[in-house]
Order: sequence, then C-alpha cells, then structure tokens
Amino acid sequence: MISFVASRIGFAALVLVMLSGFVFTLFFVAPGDPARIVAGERATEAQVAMVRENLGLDRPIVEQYFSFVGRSLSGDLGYSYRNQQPVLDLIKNRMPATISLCVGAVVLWLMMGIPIGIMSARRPGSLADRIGQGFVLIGVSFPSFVLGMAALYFLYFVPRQAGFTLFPPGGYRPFLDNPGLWAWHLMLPWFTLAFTSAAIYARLTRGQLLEVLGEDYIRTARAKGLSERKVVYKHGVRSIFAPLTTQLGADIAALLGGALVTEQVFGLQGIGSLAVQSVQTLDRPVIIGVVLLAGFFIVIANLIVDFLYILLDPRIRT
Amino acid sequence: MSTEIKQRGSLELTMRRLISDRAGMVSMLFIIALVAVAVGADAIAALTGHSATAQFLNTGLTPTGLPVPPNGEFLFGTDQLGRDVLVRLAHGARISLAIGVVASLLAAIIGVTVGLVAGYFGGWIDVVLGRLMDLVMSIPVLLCMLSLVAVFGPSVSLSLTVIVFFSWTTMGRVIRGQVLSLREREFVVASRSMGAGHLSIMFTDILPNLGAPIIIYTTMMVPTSIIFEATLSFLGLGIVPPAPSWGGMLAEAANNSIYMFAWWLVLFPGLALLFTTLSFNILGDALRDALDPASMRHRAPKKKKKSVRAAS
Amino acid sequence: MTVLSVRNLNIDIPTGDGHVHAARDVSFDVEAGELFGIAGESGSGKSVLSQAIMGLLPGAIISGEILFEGRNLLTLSPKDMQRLRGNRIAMISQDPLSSLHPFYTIGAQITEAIRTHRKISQAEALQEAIDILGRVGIHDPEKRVHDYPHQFSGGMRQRVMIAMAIVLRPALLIADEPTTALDVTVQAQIISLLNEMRLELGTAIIMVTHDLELLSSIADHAMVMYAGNRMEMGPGEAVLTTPAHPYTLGLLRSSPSHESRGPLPSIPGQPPSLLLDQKACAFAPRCAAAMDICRQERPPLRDFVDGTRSLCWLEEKAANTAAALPAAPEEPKAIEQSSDIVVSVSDVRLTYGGRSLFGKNINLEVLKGVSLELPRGKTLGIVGESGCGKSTLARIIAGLLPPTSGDVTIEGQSVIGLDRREWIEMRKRVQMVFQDPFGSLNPRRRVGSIIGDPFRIQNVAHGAARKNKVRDLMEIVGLNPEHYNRFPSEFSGGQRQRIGIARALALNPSIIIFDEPVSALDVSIQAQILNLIGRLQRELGLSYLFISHDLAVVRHVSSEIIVMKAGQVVERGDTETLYHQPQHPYTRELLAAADPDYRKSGGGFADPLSQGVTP
Repeated sequence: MISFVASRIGFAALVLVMLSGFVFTLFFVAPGDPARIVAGERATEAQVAMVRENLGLDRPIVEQYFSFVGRSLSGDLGYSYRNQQPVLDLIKNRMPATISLCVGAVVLWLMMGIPIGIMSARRPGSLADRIGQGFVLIGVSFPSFVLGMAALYFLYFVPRQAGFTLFPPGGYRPFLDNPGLWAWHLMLPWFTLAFTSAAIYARLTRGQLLEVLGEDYIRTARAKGLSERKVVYKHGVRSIFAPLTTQLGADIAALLGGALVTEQVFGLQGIGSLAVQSVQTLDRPVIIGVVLLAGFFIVIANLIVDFLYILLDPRIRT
Repeated sequence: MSTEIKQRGSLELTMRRLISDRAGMVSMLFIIALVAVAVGADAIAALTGHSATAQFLNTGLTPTGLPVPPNGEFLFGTDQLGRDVLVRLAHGARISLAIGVVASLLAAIIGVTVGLVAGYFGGWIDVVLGRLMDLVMSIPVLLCMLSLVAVFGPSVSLSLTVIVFFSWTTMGRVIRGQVLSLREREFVVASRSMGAGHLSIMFTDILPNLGAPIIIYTTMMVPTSIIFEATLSFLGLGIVPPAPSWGGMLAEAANNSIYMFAWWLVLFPGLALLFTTLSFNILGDALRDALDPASMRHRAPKKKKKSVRAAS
Repeated sequence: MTVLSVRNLNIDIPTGDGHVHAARDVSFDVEAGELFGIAGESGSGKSVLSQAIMGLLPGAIISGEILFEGRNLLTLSPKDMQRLRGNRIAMISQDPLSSLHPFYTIGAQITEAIRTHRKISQAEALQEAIDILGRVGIHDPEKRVHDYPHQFSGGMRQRVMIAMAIVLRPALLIADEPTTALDVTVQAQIISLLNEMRLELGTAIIMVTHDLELLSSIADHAMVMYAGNRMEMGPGEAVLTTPAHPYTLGLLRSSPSHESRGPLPSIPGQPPSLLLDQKACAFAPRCAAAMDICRQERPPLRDFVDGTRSLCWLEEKAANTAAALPAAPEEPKAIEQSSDIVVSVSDVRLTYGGRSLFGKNINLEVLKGVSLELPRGKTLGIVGESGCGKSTLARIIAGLLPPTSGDVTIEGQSVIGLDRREWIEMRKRVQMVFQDPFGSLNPRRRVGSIIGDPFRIQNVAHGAARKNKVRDLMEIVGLNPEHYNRFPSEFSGGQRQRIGIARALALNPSIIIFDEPVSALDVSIQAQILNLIGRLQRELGLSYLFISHDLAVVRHVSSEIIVMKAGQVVERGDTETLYHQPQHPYTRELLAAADPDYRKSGGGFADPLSQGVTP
C-alpha cells in the first residue's frame, strides 16, 4: 500500500510540474514580447522596461522558471496590469461563485445520477429502465450551454413575459448575505452543469451494478435469505463505490471546463468567466494564475479520490 | 453443438441485429440527411439566393433593427446582422461534421495504437504509456485551450489538435484493457509457441478481436468532438466569425440575450446540435448491441442471462 | 423422516434461442441426515435442480411439486421462501473465490446470515460466528473473523462458506460442486468436513457433482441425470458399482480409474441440446444397447430388487447385460523399447526477482532444480497440485519461457540461448496442446485458418497445398474436413480440443506437451480425447509430456510419472511402481486423497491446513 500512496503523490507532483512547465513555456517562451504583452499595447517603453525587470525576463530561462515556480508556491501569482490588482486578489474575489457552483453541481449530479442508475439496474428492460436510459441518452447528447440557454428561456424569460419571476436571469449572490437568494440564483446553473454528468453517472452506475449483480457473491447473498433490497444495496451498490470514485476523479478535470461555460451563460462572476475575459483582453498573468490554480485543485482532488479508493477496496490495503 | 439449429455467419447476424434496431436505423438516416445538407450547403445558398455571410439589412431586419422570425423568404429567420439562419446552419454543419468525424478518426488511430502497444508489451512500456494517459486526462482541458488561444489565436487547426489531443485517451484506455486480457488468452500463447512474431500476433490474433470496441467507441467519440468544438466556438475560442459554426451562432444569440426575443436563434442551432449528437449516440448504442450481443443482457430481462448460465 | 420430496418436476427456461428444457419429470426423496448425490455431466440439468429448490430461478417455468418439511416450495410467497433460505435450506456453491463478497469481512458476512433470521445482538452473533469457524477447522477464529476473503486460501474459503451455510443448523444443505475448484488433497478434507457436520448436526446434504467415484464412496443414495432426465436412482453403492442404466455404465467404464490401461471404452457422440423436445429415450442415439423401441417411445421407470430404479427399456440391469457394454477397443500392439532420449531437462530453475514495498529483494522461486528425461515414443506424466510449477515447467520446455538456470535439450540440441531463427526452427520439433478448449482458439478466426497457422507462420505451405494439409489433419483427429470454414464457437468442447491437437500436429513435431488437455472436458468426452491421443502416439511415434492434476488420467496414459510439489520433483518412477509403492509422503497423500475408500472413511490422513495469508 505504501508504494501505491507514493506513486500517487509522485504522479500528482508530475502533473504540477508539467502544468507549470506548459504555462511557463507558453507565456515566456512563445512568440511576441512577453513584457509588452503583459504591460498592454498602450504602455510606454519605460513601463514595458519596468515590467520586464519585474518579471525577470532578462535572466536565463531556467532561472526564470524556478523563480516563477517559487513565486507561485509562495502565493504570488503575478500582477494584472489591466485590472491593476494582484492576480491572487482577483482570483480570491471570484472564488466563492465558482466553488458554490461546482460543489453544488457535484452533489446534485450524484444525487440524480446514481439513483436513476440503480433503478435501471434493478429492473433491466422494464419501463423504468427505459426511462432511465432515455434520460442517459438525452443527458449525454445535450450540450450544456444549449441546455442553459433553453433553461433561461423557458424558466426565466417566458414566465417574465407572463408577468412573474420564476428564476432569476443569473448573477451571483453571496451566501453570507442571504442563503436563500444564493441558492435561488444558483438553481439553474447547478442544474445545467449537473445534467450531463448525472447522465454519465446514471449510465456508469447502471452498467457496473448490472455486472455486479451477476456475480457469484450476489447469489450467495440471496441464498442466505437476504431481502432483495439488502442484496442490491448492501452487497451490490457497495461494490460499485470504487469505479464510481475513479470516475469522479476523472470528472473533476472536466468540471472546471463545464463551470467555465456555465458561468458564461448565466453571467456568474466566477473564475471561469474571469479566464474567458482575460483571453479576450490578453491579460496573460491572470490566465497563468488561473491555470496554475486549477491544476493545483485538480491534483489535490485526485489525491483525495485516490485515498478514498484505498478506504473502499480492502484488497489494496493488504 | 446441435446441427439442427441453423448457424449463420457472424456478419449476417450482426447486420440482422442492426437493421432490426429501429432507433438505430432512424439515426443513421438522420446522419445521412445531415451529411447531404452539409455537402449541399452551397446549393442551398444558391437556391435561396442568400450566401452564408451576406447581410440583408432591408429584408432581414425589422424596422427597429431586430432579427426577423421565420417567414417565406427566410425559412429559419435571420440573425442580428440580417443573415439567413438556414444557410448558415447548413454551412455550420460542415464544420461540425468535418471536425467531429476527422477528430474522432484521428483520436481513434492514436488511441488504438497506444492502447495496443501498451497492453501487448506490458512492463515499463505499459507503465510509461499508462502514466501518459493519466497525465493527459488530468489536465484541465478548457483552461489549456484558453491559454493556447491567448497565445496563438483561434483557428480550425488549433481546435482540431486540441480535440484530438484530449480525446484519444478514452480509446487508449479501453483498448489497453482489452489487449491486456486478450494477451493472456491461450490462443496468443499458442501462436507464440508456433513461432509467431510480435507484429504477427498483434495483427492476426489481437486486432480482429478489437473490431467491435473500435467501431463503437469511434462512433461514440463523434458527438463528444462535435460538442467540444461547439463549446469552443461558443466561448470564442474556435471558429472565427463571420464563418458560420453552430457554437458561434449560439454565442451570438447569447450576446446581450438577443435570443430572448428571437427564439429561433437558439432553437435551430440548438436542435441541430442536439439531434446530431443524439443520432450518433443512438447509432453507437445500436452498433454495440449488434456487434457485441453479450452486452445485450443489459437490455433483456435479467432472467435470460441467469437462466442460460444455469442451464449448463 | 423425509426432508425433501420432489415430485414430477419440470423446469423450462425461456431464453433468446427458445425454451431450454432443463429438467423433465424428475422425482426423488431425501431423508433426514442422509447424503444424496446428484451426478451428471455439464448440461444434465443438475445445477438447475439445486437452484430451483432454493427458489433462485426467477423467470423459469416450473411445474410439479417440491415438498420441504411439508410445504410446497413452489407455492410459497417470495417472502416465505426468503425466510427459508439460509435458515432451513442452505446452499454452497462451486467457486469459493468469487462466492464471498470481497469488501466485507467474513465475520460480517456470517453475522449477517445469522441476524437475518434470528433476533440476537451483533455481539452474540459474532460469538456464534467464531464458534462455527472453529468447528469447521479455521485456526485462530477470534482473529480470523475480522479478515477479508482474499486473505484465505481456496480450501479455507470453502470452509468459511460451509460455516456460513450451517451456522443456523439448516435441515437441508445443497452442495453444488463444492470441491471441483479445489486441489485433490483439499477436496478430501472438505468432503470429510461435510460428512462430519452432517453426522453431528443431522443435516441432510444434497451433493451435486460430476465425479462419480466421489459419490460411490459417500452417498447414501444417488441419482444420475442426463439431458434433464433422471436416468437412474438408487442406493449409492448399487448405482455406482452395478449400474442399471447404460449411461451410468458407460460413464463408469469411460472414466480412467485405478485399474484401467489402454484405450477406454467411450460413449460416442455428444449430449443432445436441451432446446429440443425429446420424444423417446434421450440417450438412445449414443446407447450401445439401444433397441428400436428406445427410439420410438419414452422408456418406463423400472424397479429393481436392490432398490434401484432406472428409466430404461432394458429389463435387466445394464451391468448384467452384455449388449449394454460399450465396445472394448482392440488391444494395441506392443511398443518397441527405445533408449533414445528426446527431451532432457537438467536442474532447471526459475526465480522471479522482485522488490517488496520496503525495498527488500524478494525472490519467488517457482522451480527449484527440476530434472527429467523423456524417452522416444513414451509418455511422461507430470502430476502435482496447483502452484507446484508444472505448467511453468511445460512452458520452459516448450521454449516460451527462459529458465533462470539449467538446461533443456530436445533431440540432443539445447533450447537455451537460441537465436531467433534457431528458435523458430525448434518449434517444428516440440508443440503444445492447452487446457482451455474455449480460450486456446481465437474466436474470430476460422478453424481452417487456425489449424493452418503453423504453416503460415513457418512459411511451409501455401494456398491449395496448405488447405489440403489442413483437411488431412482434420481427418486424422476425427473432425469433418467440410467444417473448414467454421468458427470455434460452432464446435463443442471436445471438438475444439481436437482442433488444438490438429494444430499441434501440423508441423510434424516429435514431441507434444499436453497441459491439462482433458481437465475442462466432460468424462464421456475425456475418454474420446484420451483414446485419440493414444492412437496418434502409436501411429506417429510421438513422445508426450502429459501434465495433469488428475491422478487417474495421468496413470492411465503414462508409462513414467514424476510428482511435483512446490517447484521440486519429490518422486519419480514408472507408473505401476509409483502407484503401488509410493515412497514420498506427499505422493502417498495425493494417492490417498484420490482413493474412494479413503474418502469414505472420513479422511484423517492429513490435518486440516490452516494458514494465514495466501502467498
């Protein structure tokens, strides 16, 4: 087991190194004068020179890389000359929206997808199963931004035309101000972000559970006289925790992308929309900061998932 | 095996199963129709007299400057610049289909090769390639795309490269798993014991057994690639306007929430995307049921599988 | 007192291909405390019976009666049936590795069984679990009760399964092939354990198995099934020593036993498909004593004086009817003595190096210095239990695996350290036939192409010449050359094994290594394949290495035998001497475990092994 732990941590470190190397190469080695690009087109020569010195762009590349890494690790993610703010502050302001969105969506899709999958697996071929599979099919086929726009149209615009407000058009309200308002504003974004993933989980749950229910130890459980409910949940579902967790790890990387799109559609001031804006304004330090941070979170989340896996599968422990 | 029960060739059985799947057939027809529309996009433009980028400010916009709903002249209405939505939709189909299919094929080729090599040779080759796949899957895709676009600017080739780069791992994982279990089968050992070399075994023994997953997963990757491309265009990272793409059309519709007042700007591109991806997914499911009846047990009532086993 | 009474049971299972008639008009009684054996080959319907009794066949169409403790199980509600399962009727099944939930401790699984049917506390249930584990021979039960299934060996796991099944003192225990997946020595222990528990607790046991010898030593009553029919039923010894039905007789005679030598009388043909309706006697097409009426009308149930009943038109017991005896094949010509050694293995060792988690070097010694010699035209049997290294040795001799040290010479030439071209040449001298008739043939290739593979790989014959050679090979092994273009899935297990043999013969090797070639086949088919192998050896002058865990089979085919344990040869000698005067204690243990008399006396030769973590 120790080798398992060691290899996972080693892998996490590798991802971080790779990501930072990628970002670094992209911005400091790519064509164009980084200093000018960071400073902006309207900057004067003197300002550009100052930026160049600030960023240490006249020093050897390897040294630049290490100082870049060093700075990032100590929390200094650079300075956004466009917004006249340290990147870290910018990100901190935008974090609550994205975190609320992501966490809520994960909870929602697990609560939606897994029960549907179980329902399908318990009675394959039945009407319930076919509904479940229909849900899966629609879910994996619906692009999330189309779903978001459609949701806004039918659940905001149409009621608005009729004179009442069912759901707000977007925007984020901090939790601490008013939890009810916070949730209300996030309902549609949560649903949009969770829908496709819920379908994926429903499909995965159904497939894995069907396989497990054909195993010999399930037959043993039935032969012991356990009720069908216990057989399915206590024995069957328990066995699918591991593959579900693995899938969760893979989905975390995709989650940020989905959040990005959802923030655009609903006008949420989160990290995702920050990133998109920065691309449009070519504010490189912000992009660097966001990518590094995202990579960091993905790595941590995956480590957590890996350790969960150890808890779930006793065969690894011994 | 009783000779009284008629044995049919496996290809014939597969085709029978496929044809009997009505949903699958409908999807295939839709895809064929879509391809026809994409190929004939210019013909549609000629027919209506509107090109994909021409702006019709008189007939295409209301006096207040808003888009015109579907009518006799503009079958699917116009967008905020007075352009014909139908024609743009047809041209957008080209982009979506082309990128979707090409990206999937390329990703499949890479995935199969890597999976085959990793699964067959095992050892450190497998470890390295496996780690590589894990690595690629850990990268935040969209964010990387953002970075790349920020540096190099959006373009079709960039979109294609990124989509292929992040899609091949799915196929790679699946193929690797299959090859790992196939490699242990005795017929591979038998071939080795007859003196067959690695390449011979990979092509004659292992690859024919991979036919089903390859076809199924390649088909399943198409809708993923299409959605991926549409998302990129939606975010302004993919196809550059004024070239039409479904994602771009939706992005323009979302701009200032124009679509609230011009529902056809969301309906048509949205439905186009939805039906296309739905068709490929249904077709993929149909192919899986036709090619790999062992998975049919997931469709048929549970008792069938149990009883066939119990009867032995 | 009759615990279970089955009357006129018919089981039909709807499948995608039609209705499988798994059981036809089956009736039998099981008395309290007796051991009732149900014997049959695969496809006979024996497993379906046990599942039907437990109520684990949803979707099957069942008619007739199953009376248990006075109630008809077929009319019970699912809830009532649930209350009986695990409580009054229990079941243990074949594969202990997959029959226990991998993620729960065995203690949790046993206490779950207890608390489903009794209202007692978790602590009390745990204590009962510990008690029962001790009763079935698990050492240190207080500690082991918290372990997971993968921390036990195969035999231990089966003991745990037994413990879980009998903890609530059921009236009836159904054991469905409980020892098939286990090694011979462990088998004997498990059987004796079951016997003990039966006598102590008064539980009736239904033992379902394909091993007739096993039943003859322990079953009070036995029933022989074929194609879903109860062919014969009666007191254990009577049925299995003087059988009434030709099928039972054929089975007994075609099993290589401890007295047989030379070709076995085998039952020709294959069992019928259960999808078809049976109009007359199901066994008639294969029966040596078949009369016209057998093919026209369903046979009656005949009663004999000693309590046997048989579903047959014969008026006398088959054992006493000359016509029913399967034809004895001709005596083979004597083989000339030859001193030409074709395979010589000297002190071969194989060690897998490795590093443990803590960086220590762990070496797994699979073969610890094995030597053997195979004379031309003879058969050397290699016998041992799983993990002894016999398959690894086979692969080294076949050139598929390089040894860490030692030498192997084939026809005078060393096979170690050959370059690629020489190695390919060597393939023409030594070939291998594998165990699994399903896995050893590529399902996606046609049979003609599979048999022709050696020609293709070695670049020996092409086009029409190749096709002709393949056809010849198919005929030699008893296959119809017209089936050249079929896929493996269209052949039965026995036929697939013939394909494997044809493939091995293609390059005219002098030596063939058989790695458990008949272990996966039914008894009646085994005999056919063994006869084929014997005939080929005589006709083509082949030399064989025959690897198996089945002592009877090995004894039947080999002139010399070596016994392996844990990577070493513990004894070697010619067959008869080894069997009658075994020197090494392990050899004696193996022989004793396979001996029916030993099993009947309840074992006791070796102590139940109770180890910790499986290596």
